[in-house]
Amino acid sequence: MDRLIADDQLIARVAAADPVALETLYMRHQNRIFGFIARIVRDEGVAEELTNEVFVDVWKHAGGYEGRSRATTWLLSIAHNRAISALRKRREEPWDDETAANLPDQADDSEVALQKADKSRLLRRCIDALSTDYREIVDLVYFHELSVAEASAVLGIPEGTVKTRLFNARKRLSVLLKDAGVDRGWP
Amino acid sequence: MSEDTKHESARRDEVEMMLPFYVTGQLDHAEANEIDDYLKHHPDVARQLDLIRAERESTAAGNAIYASRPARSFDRVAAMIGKTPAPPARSAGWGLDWIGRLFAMPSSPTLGFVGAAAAIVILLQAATIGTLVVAQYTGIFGTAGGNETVDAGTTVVVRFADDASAAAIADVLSGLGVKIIDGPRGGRLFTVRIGPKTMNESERERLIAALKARSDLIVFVTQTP
Repeated sequence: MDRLIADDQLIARVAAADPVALETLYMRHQNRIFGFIARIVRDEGVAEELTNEVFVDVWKHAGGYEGRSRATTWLLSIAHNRAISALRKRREEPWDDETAANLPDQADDSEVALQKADKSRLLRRCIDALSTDYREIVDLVYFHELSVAEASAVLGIPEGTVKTRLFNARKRLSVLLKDAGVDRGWP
Repeated sequence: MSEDTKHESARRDEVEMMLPFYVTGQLDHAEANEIDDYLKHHPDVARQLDLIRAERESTAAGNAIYASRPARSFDRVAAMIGKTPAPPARSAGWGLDWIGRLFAMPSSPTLGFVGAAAAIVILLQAATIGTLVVAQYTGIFGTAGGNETVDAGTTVVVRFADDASAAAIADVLSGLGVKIIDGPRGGRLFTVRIGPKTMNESERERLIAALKARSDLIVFVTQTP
């Protein structure tokens, strides 16, 4: 079984209870799904287990996949639901607090001042410090390269909300950067 | 605020909301043309493109830590679904040893398999554009000596343009003396070894700048965490 077999075909084989097709899907997508979940739950052990559960969900529900969206979008949608459900169970919203506390501020020492010079690294830390909702939409659009419609399908929100959520996430990013001493002149 | 001003403000918001999708190439032709037209007449908004590209690059860097993890076994999932995993020989596929050797770092059976899988992707992608002769371009992936091991050294994570040919990538990488050691991972990222762990800062910066300069082939370059 190789890469010439499209994801859609693999899912059809999974629906017919072919474990080799599931393994191929797993090898093909596990990193993407694991990374996406890990960025939400911020715990690699939990992310690993949830990733496995995503593929068990695929095994159980492959017959319901109608091919209206890309397989990647479908997998991310399952992963989103698994991750958010786990967060709710944990009753913990990993918002800015912990990571924001680690952001450099204007009174930091010289070592941190050096970090300030590295805007790219600071920007990365600020993205990590965004709330779950904001970080997730940033990842989906910038890293997983989903369209508005695809992000809407993954998150289960209207397309207009996808656009405003990303817009607000970017504004929040500017605030975090400004708090860390970098004014990027927008908004 | 006049109606015209309100309208212009709303239009600006609308365009700004679409800019990330414009940068990632997720708009259809008509939408992209509309944005193009708006940006021509609003250079202040066009300046945001650099901010968005920086956001995108940093997002990739934040994800790179997961993209570079070794592949995990399917065994746990197989146990969860109550099925026996496919035999290893089947997973490894059809005579992939020679492809695995194209990679610079087949340091473990797991990595060896991942490397082989990555090579297949490259070969097949290239095959669709009919430009790749395998023997000719082994240089992309490092030495083909088979048993040679190379330390990970100083690495960067890159994302190649979807329409970049393997031949063009090979030319650029071999010209710079750098090699792919892993990939593709989630988000179609490749890890490229640009030198030994001890390489000096200026050389590292020079190579990163040289990779970034090939924006026709490379969407972004980011240092590994």
